[in-house]
Amino acid sequence: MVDWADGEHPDEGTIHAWLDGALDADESAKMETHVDSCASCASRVAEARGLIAGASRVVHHLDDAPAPLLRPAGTPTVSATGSAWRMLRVTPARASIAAVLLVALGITFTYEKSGVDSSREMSALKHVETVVPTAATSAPMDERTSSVPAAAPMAPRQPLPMQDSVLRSAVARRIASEQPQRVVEAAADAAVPVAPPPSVLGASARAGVSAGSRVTAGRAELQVGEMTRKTMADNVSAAPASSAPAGGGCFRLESKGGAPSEWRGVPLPMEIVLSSAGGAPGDRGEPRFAIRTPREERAIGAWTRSAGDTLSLTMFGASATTSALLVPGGETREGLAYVITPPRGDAAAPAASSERRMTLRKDAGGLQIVARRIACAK
Amino acid sequence: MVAPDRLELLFKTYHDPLVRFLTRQTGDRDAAEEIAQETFIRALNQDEIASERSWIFAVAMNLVRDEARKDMRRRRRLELMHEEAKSEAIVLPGPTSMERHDDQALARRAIEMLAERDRDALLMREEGLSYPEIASALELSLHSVGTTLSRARRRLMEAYERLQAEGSKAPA
Repeated sequence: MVDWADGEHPDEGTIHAWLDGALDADESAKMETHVDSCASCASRVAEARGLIAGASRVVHHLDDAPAPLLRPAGTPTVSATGSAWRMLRVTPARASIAAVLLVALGITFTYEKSGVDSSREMSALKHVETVVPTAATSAPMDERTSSVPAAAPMAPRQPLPMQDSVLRSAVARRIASEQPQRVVEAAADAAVPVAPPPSVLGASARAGVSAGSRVTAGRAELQVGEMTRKTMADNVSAAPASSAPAGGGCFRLESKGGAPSEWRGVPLPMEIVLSSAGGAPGDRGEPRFAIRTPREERAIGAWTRSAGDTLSLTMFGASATTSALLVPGGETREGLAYVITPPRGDAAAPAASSERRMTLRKDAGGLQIVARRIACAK
Repeated sequence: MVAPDRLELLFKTYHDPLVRFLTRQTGDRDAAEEIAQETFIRALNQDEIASERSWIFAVAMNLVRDEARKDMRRRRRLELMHEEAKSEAIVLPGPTSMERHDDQALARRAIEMLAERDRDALLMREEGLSYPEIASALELSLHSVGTTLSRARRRLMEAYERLQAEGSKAPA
């Protein structure tokens, strides 16, 4: 990189490269020797040091948060033209300190398939069908999306824990303890479409699932209305819910074919965790579904797949909508979804959970769960 | 397609510096976040990324340019700044916040006076990109990186000091 000949002086770029540590050992040694014996170059090096430090300082000034401005009455507010984030001055960093809305979907599934070889499973399936006697579950299998990968054999040959009253807390505890805290921010303008963006759909399609069928079929169902069952504060203790400020965002959770539920005054950011329990309570098996979102204040979707299951997650930090799409690799799965809310700004208030029974059918394109930011005005 | 684990690592490693870089570039944190997200989505769709950091910064930079062409957000921001400037003229914030605001505004104006490539190189360097990484992201020869950086730094300081001097001459 050094391009000055003996007897000449290094150019300014080379001096900066030297000070930036970008020269190799030989070049650095040559530079050092030269600067030691050349007063003008020593002076240029000193100047370059000043420029490097000064420019760095100026660049860091760019990071200063804008000073809050006091507004006289009648001045248009930021919200008229800017995002809610800007209006609230809720930076992701601040938001990450706030408590989360933990939407934990502990989904324990089993296959409904022909040739069930266990009376235990048969009995469990019977239970499922009495709860969910839907058209979705009885749709002919030839309606299935042919591009969905065939179900690979999976592990859930355990008793269906959905009958176990302990499961709800077990699943939630497991989610709280085994899943790292993942923070996803859903925010901003309300006009973002629910469907995943083409890039993500494209990725899903490459994973072997018809993207179009996912977003149009819409036959996954949530069968049972929301009902608060029991406090779950102990189970979500890992979430910093108790430090949540009052107020916060308002969200509507929707699923394809299911009735939306609204969550108001939810501290931000909200967190969405999708996980399937590995089996019975206490089972230490790996979750078959997991959304691996980094713990940072922003997240994008990534997914793990197992045994033909497809799970895709769309999360855009600055957009209005966070959605997760769960497509079973098996034909049909039944399970319970747990939706857990943290205390709303009051540490003494218990967290609550609600549960719904859901049916996932791969021919219906799976289940898409969408958290959509809505206006908080009543 | 980049494996999910790999993508997660990429995200963890580069998200914060990338958002900072983009915020410095655009002056708009929301836009920076969106562009960063889009960058990682694109990474997801890549089969292989040879030089991760330079790839990510180069893609993000190109997205900034795309965004600038659309210019909608920037226009909105300018409208906002205009409204803020109007209210500022009526109600003065306290001296400390004013000073910080001044420093930031001066820095923003100074950085925007740089040529695009100089600015890109400087902001990348501030995020710790090596000379080869900057060369790769900006499609420069390795030798030109030092020259580009030295010019960027000098011009930035000249612009900043000039703006400071103009500010101090302005009537209180």
